[in-house]
Parts: sequence; C-alpha cells; structure tokens
Amino acid sequence: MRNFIILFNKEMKESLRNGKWIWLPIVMMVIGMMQPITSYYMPQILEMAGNLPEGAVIDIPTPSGEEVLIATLSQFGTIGTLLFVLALMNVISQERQTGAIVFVVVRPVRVFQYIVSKYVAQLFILLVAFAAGYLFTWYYTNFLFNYVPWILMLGSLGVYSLWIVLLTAVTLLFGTVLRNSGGIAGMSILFLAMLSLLTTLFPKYMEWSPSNLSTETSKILIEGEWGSSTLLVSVSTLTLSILFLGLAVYLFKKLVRFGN
Amino acid sequence: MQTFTELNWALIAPLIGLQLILMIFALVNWAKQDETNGPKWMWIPIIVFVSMIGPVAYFIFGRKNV
Repeated sequence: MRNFIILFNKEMKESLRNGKWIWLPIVMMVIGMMQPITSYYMPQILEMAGNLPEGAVIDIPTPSGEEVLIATLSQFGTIGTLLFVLALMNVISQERQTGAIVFVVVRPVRVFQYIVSKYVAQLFILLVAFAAGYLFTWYYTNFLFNYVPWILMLGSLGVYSLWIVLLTAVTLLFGTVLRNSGGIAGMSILFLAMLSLLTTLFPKYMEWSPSNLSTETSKILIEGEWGSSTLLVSVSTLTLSILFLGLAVYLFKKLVRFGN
Repeated sequence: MQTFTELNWALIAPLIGLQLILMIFALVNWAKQDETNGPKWMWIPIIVFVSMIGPVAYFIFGRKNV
C-alpha cells in the first residue's frame, strides 16, 4: 500500500509538471461550455453565416436542457475520447524510452502496484476533467434552457464515467504492448472505434457493449430511470476494464525487457 | 451586425477567459523548456493564433519528454 501511495503521488507530481492537470480540465470545460452556448445562439449563428435568401424563415425548435446535455456527452464521446487517449499514450512508453522505468522496477515494487497506481492516478485526472466540463455544461444549461434535476445529471455523469474507466484501461494495455506512442494512440482509438462500429452493426449481439453507455445515459436523462440494460452495460464495462488491466499486468511481466 | 452587440457577453466571457488562461499557461510552460519537438520558435504562433487546439497540440506533441 505504501508503494502504491508513493507511486500515485509521483504520478500526480508528473502530471502537474507536464501540464496535464491544467490543460485537460480547461479544454473539457471549454468544450462543455461551447455546446450549450452554440445551441442557444444557433439561429443567430445561421443568420450570420449562411447566405440565406431574403425572407427565409429559420424555425429551429429550442432543444430541452436534457437534449443539450446529451449533445454535450456525445461531444465528449468523440473529441473527449481522442484527447484522453492522446493524453494517456505516453504514460508508460515515455518511461520506457527514457529508461526511468528501470529505476522504479529495481526497487521492491510489484508490477501490479506499478500499473494500478498509474491507472488510478490517470483515471483520477481524467474523471476530474470530465466532471468539471460536465458541471459547466449543466450550469449553462440550467441558465440558458431549463433546469435539469441534479440527480439526473449525477446519474448520467456516473454512467458515462464508465466509458473513461474502460478507455484508460485500453490505452494502458496498448501502452504496455507497444513502444511507439503514436502506435499506442492509434491502436487504442482503432479498438474503441471498432467497438462502436460492431455495436451499431450487430445491436442484437452487442447489448453488453460499452459503446451503449451513451444510449444508456440519454435514456437516464430523458426518461429519468435506470433500466436493467444500464446495469448490464455498466457491469460488462467494469468487467472488461478489470480484464484489460489484468492483461496489462500480465503482458508487462512478459514483454517488457529492462535496459532497452 | 446588430446581433453581434446583442450577444450576452457575460456568457461568452468565461469561455474567452479559459482559453486565455490555457494560452498563457502554455506560453509559460514553453518558455521554461530548453528544447521542444521541432524548432522552438515555431510553437509561439501555434499557441497564440490557433485557439485552444494550438496549446493542446503543444502540450501533447511539442513538449520533449526528458
């Protein structure tokens, strides 16, 4: 446990120093604020940008607050996923390239502690960034559209966080297997994209797929209730994450040669 | 241009403020680096003129990890 806390603190200090603790939350907040504001000003934006003929009537129904939150979550699902994977790609490979990993592993640190401390620390940063962005969206949505009950906001926040839990595990897994940070990012995004693609292609067989988390969150926001499918998807996402993490520990022991 | 002045600046100000903070933070971080990936001066226009994506690109790709 002591090792874990020390490694965790080291990870926090490193993230402060390379700026991850600052830029990730700020970027997520900006994305989170942008969506409600652009939805609110959509008619004006269209008016200013489009070469519409004189007298054209634009009649866009005002979206409800819940719809704005869903749209924001789908933004986080695309841009956010990309940013998160890019932010995580160097977590292990950088220490391998600089050789710093040797200094960690010659000490009585178990691989399990090393990987899990990295996982928890990075996940913590990403979740704080995500929550900060989402809270801003919620605040702006209540202000510009209609009040969305905080319990629905928290529920959707919690369920959607599971996607980040999975994403971190996948990126760390590829981080142990591959050496090149571009390859790590590419493979992780490819994997997550394949998962979404398969889910849209075979919805019957992929009910458990973590990509369904976004549909589950919209269900929570619009209908205001948990279904049994929410539980299924949550449990399968958590199981997959733990599985990937275990695989990462196993492969790290097998593959990583120290000294080169 | 009527709509432009009608914009509620209290709404937009935090958005601009956050981007400014991000830019300044990236510039401070940039100034502290001895070396970056690619020529060092190249990152100034990227950080300053490409809003939001510029500073992020600097943090992800520009910093030399030593």
